Amino acid sequence: MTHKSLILGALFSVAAASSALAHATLEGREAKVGSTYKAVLRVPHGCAGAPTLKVRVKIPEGFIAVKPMPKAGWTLETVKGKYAKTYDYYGTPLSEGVTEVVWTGKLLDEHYDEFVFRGSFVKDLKPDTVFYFPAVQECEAAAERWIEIPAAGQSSDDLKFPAPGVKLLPATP
Amino acid sequence: MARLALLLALLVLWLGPSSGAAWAHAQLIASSPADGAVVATAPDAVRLTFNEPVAPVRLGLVGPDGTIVDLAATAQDATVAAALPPLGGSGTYLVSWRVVSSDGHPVGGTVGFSIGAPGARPTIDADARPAAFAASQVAIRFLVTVLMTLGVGGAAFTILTGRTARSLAGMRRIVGIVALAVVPAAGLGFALQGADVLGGSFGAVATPAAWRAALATSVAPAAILAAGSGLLAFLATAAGPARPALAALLAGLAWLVGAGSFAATGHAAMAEPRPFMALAVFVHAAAAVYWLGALVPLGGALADRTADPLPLVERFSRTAVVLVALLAATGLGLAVVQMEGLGAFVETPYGRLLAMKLVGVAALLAIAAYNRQILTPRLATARRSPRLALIRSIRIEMVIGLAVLAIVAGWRLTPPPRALHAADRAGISAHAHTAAAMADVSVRPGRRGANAAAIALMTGDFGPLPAREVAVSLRPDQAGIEPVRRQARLAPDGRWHVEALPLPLAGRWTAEIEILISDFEKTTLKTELEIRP
Repeated sequence: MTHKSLILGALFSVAAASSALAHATLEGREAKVGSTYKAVLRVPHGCAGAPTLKVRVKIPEGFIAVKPMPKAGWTLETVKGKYAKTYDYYGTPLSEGVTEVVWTGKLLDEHYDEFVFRGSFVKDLKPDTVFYFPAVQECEAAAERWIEIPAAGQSSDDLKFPAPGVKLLPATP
Repeated sequence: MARLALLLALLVLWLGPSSGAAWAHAQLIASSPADGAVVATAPDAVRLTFNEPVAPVRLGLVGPDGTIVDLAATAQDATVAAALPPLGGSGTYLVSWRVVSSDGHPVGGTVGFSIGAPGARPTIDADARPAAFAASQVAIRFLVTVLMTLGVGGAAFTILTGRTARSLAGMRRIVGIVALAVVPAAGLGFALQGADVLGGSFGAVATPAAWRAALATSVAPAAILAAGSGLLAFLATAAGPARPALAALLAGLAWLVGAGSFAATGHAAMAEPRPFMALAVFVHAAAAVYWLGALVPLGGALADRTADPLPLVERFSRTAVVLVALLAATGLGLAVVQMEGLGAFVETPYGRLLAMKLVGVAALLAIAAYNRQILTPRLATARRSPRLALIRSIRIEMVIGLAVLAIVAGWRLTPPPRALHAADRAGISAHAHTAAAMADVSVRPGRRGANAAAIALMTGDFGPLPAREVAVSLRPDQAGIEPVRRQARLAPDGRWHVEALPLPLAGRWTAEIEILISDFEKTTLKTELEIRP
């Protein structure tokens, strides 16, 4: 290997020290418990060179009243289901809603795109924890599954395919 | 320059994990040779194609013998290429790569390919012992076997078959001295065995520690029995024609004890079913020692013009027919158990030695049949002419017999296919679990080279664990080698299988089993495996 390439590698490493462009991530990194959150899922690449044909996002318990944003050129579907309990949403009891959002279309490996949905974090979520939205990119024969959630004592950095997450902050009193 | 490269590489590694998020950035799309490919001729270069431009950090080649060679890699756009050194021979090779992708994150992996057949067996050598030491062990074993054949077998023949034949008187004395030489030879073999146990250096031979170590092995009873048989044979010849009953008793005893020493150690006698195998080795050794041991005294008796050799030759001939039949029957039985298939004749060093031995034995049998059917009857009619022919053919028998004994001694270093297969069939296994999931991983043959893995999954409470996808990722303890990651396939037996898993290094490997339970749920289990050399 050449020294030039090593130096190049080292420089790249320094330059990228704070970005995480190569994972599927969420643009907004923090949100308050009980607040409305606009999730922007960033998809940086396909499956080992293959184009992405489907993007699926799991909506875990605690994120309610979800509305995905339609995308030109993509078919939008949602999967609905019952919540584990009934939540109060500005005075209205909510017991069911979107549990999965599915966009179907085509995103080439060399292109970048964003997928948007909006919803509300319920009030009884614990602040200072990370709320994960497992996401799956499906390609023709393969899939990239951004679904790994760090175990206790682990960080997302230790994982190969970490799930996109949002840090929850205490609610404004 | 090398130090600069190392520093920079370390810098990259150090900065990598601190970079906010990690891994899985640049992705390997294709390689040449392809991962898992079997190629007929050795490739002269390796090319790795990624989905984006990368800079190589380290490329290494792991050979079938576990040696690691650093490769000089060059990058061009999204392709990394490296020239390969001339590859020694067939077997499974692994290219371990580590690159930095354009966003600055180091990524690594391995690509495995095989030349010839996947996972051509590495040659099984004794181990890393000095060659001279192994050779000396073969030599001493050969010496003990030859001395026992000449001394103990010779005593059995000259006394039990020869009875009081005057023509054998001189031979009896020679045979007795040779038999006595078995005692120091067996002692030396015993000491060498002890030194072998202690690590294989000649310096250890004379130490009490080596003798103590040897006492714990099966060579101890074998050496004691061998020395005992030598001593008994000497006493038998010393008792001489004066006390024929005592001489016959001692010679018979020496013969049985000598055969017992062969049955007390070695791969064959230790195999299952043990009583049968040990008995077969005992009979085989007894017949061989007598038959080959008779040749020298027989030749001597034939050379003695003053005596009529016919009664002796006829008695030998009658006994030999029975013994050769026993020799062949027991030899066949032993070979069937040890070889487990005809392929082993060419594939294993043990099998090749056996093939050579069989050629030698076939030649011996042909000469013996000629002696018995053609020459011996002639001895009865025309006394003078066939005598020299018989002596000549006995001399040829002696030379072939020595060669056969040398081959037998060579087995000291080659485990039989049975033993190899048994270890391979068993493979190695490991268990991994978390509260939610458990996995039993078995890797076969569990030796350095090409392997296959099978994974049985269960929930934490032993229920069935339906998985969508399973992948295994193995990383050796050896620094600088990237993990070997393979997708598993669900087989009808309910287990997840990886057919081609190249593990070119012996030692400890960390295995990660990635289990996809549903589209959005994944569990990773971790365990360790010890790969045999």
